[in-house]
Amino acid sequence: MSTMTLQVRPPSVLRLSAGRLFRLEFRRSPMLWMVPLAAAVFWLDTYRGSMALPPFWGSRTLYLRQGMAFMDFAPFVVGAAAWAGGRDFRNGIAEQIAITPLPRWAGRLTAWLAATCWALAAFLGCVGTIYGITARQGATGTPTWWPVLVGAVGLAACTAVGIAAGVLIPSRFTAPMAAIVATLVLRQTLRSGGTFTLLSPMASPLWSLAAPKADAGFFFPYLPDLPLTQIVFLGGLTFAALGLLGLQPVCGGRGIRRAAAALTALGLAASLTAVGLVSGARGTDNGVVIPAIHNAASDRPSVFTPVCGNAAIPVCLHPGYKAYLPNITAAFDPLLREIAGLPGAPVRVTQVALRGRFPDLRTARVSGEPPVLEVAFNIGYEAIMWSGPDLPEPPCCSSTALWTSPARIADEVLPLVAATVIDGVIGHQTAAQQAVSAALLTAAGISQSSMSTFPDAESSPSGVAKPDAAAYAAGRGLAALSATARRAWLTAHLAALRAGTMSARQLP
Amino acid sequence: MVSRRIPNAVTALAACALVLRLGLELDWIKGTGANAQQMLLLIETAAATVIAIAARNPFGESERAAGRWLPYLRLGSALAMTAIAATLLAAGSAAAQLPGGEAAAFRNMAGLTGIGLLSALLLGGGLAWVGPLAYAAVAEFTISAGWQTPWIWPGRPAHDVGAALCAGLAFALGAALIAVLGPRELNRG
Repeated sequence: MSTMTLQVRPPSVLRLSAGRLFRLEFRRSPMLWMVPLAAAVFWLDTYRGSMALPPFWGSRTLYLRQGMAFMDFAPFVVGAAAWAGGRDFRNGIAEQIAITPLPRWAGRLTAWLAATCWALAAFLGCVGTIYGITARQGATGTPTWWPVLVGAVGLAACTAVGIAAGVLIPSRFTAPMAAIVATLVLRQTLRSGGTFTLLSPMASPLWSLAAPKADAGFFFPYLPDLPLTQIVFLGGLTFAALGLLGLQPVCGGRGIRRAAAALTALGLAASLTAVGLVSGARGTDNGVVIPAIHNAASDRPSVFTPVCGNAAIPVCLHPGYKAYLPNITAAFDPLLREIAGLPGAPVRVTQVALRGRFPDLRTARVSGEPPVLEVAFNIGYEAIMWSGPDLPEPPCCSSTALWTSPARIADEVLPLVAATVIDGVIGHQTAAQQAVSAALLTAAGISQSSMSTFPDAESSPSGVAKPDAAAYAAGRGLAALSATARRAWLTAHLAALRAGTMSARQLP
Repeated sequence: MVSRRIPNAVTALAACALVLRLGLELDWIKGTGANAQQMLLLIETAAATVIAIAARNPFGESERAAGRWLPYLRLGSALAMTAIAATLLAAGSAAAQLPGGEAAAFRNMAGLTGIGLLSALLLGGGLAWVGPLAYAAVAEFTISAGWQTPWIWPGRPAHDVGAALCAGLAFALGAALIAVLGPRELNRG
């Protein structure tokens, strides 16, 4: 050995071996063998479900925003990470490894990094496939990257927690138990509607305080409040678990263990901060608002020029839903022809954002002067949203089947819209008003039985004015008139009818 | 038995029974809906993985050379553990209603155990949990989606003969093969 070599300052153990160790861990990480399983479950669950929905960004990311992609990966990631963490114990080499110059904390962090790289590569590859295909299909709306980020940070947390479990509870049973406990916890947060469960990457369409909606990103920008808080929480959890890996005496000198303790404290502080932030969360129509970090600019509606169809009264939709305009216009046309031009009739039908925690298939209300009919359509919904006991009546069929068929739109959507519009024009207080309403509904092709699923306006604030059987009988004559004759009669008698001075006997 | 960590496995099974009791008390498992079935399925999976992992022995080839009674030991161990798991889970769900009933819960656990034992055969005792976990992930989806196939027995009612046959076949195959061949010995990872 030459003098020259002896004079060279030896590089630190970490610097010398970090890259080599990472390459070794990366090649041998058990996460690699879990990737096909997780990808298969992802394909079965998230991919097939997402691709069955229409090509809107709001719909195609619905499952992602519910955390289903994360859930497909989480059990395998936690299990494989715990398996990797318990390797030294399992192979009976824990003591031999402990006396190597490389601090054990560095070794464990490298194992975590390698496992996380595999998990993230697989997750991003799978999610990227959905985004890529959706973009290629010319999806409308705005793509959101928040669920991808939350899922990625969540998987990093799963890997850290899994490795910590494998290291700190060395047993052959640790890996499956960690995977199953993690799944149980996630599944439990999925079926809980509490404030603090908002921190979970899972958001149930049935119980969450802010169930993801299909029209997200169309009328308002995505609210980043909750994803940001989730990232802080999950990131904190990751740091805390990684810090725990370096607290044991075998992990290195006092300095290293102090750094590990500081990392744990930092992680816990971040997670607790997120818990504090989410405690003030409130659900709005547009998503979860967390007052401490909320930016009021996010509440501004998106600017767009609606596209309008040629009907007796123009039907205007968000341009993202342009493909459905002919179907909706065709389905609404019989109704709009009946009321167009009457005093008090809406001058335009305008689509607005979905409202409420669990949005209905369709809502309608008349507002403003001149009156405008505001309708909210749940286009691109997911069928499971209607499977809860306290939720609105399930529609006939899948979103695609419903909104691509004028006949189905007329069956499922038109009755409620028609009842709202006709009530606005005619009223429902007197027997004559009810009879004329019944006549107009009949003339628009809406049967009495199709109104039976709606609650009555008198019994529920969300109810509609429903003419009874007597009103339908009384309005039969008016309904039987030709469209021109009916229009002429209505024009002549509408003022008296609205004033309540006309009796049902005066109807034709 | 001790080398197979049977005492630890029984403790883990008791923990599964405790979680089952807790789930029933806290209404995590309530009614017969998909959520209740999925929560129960996870606990059954946990029990099955414990039984499958207990098939692993630390002696490897030297145990194989120990004598001709080894297959009986493996079979007896698998059957005894399954019986203990069934008893503990039944105790954990005493006086409560499981989705599908206790017979379906036992059928599901036995089938999952069979898959676990087959995984032990293919992947080694330590990784025996991978099979039941993957099967449970698929079964969770099929329960939500309402798929009906006897091969995904957790989604089928207790009286379904096809599901019982499939689960029974998986268990019989797993127990028989693990008895004859033993878990795969992997000297890595």
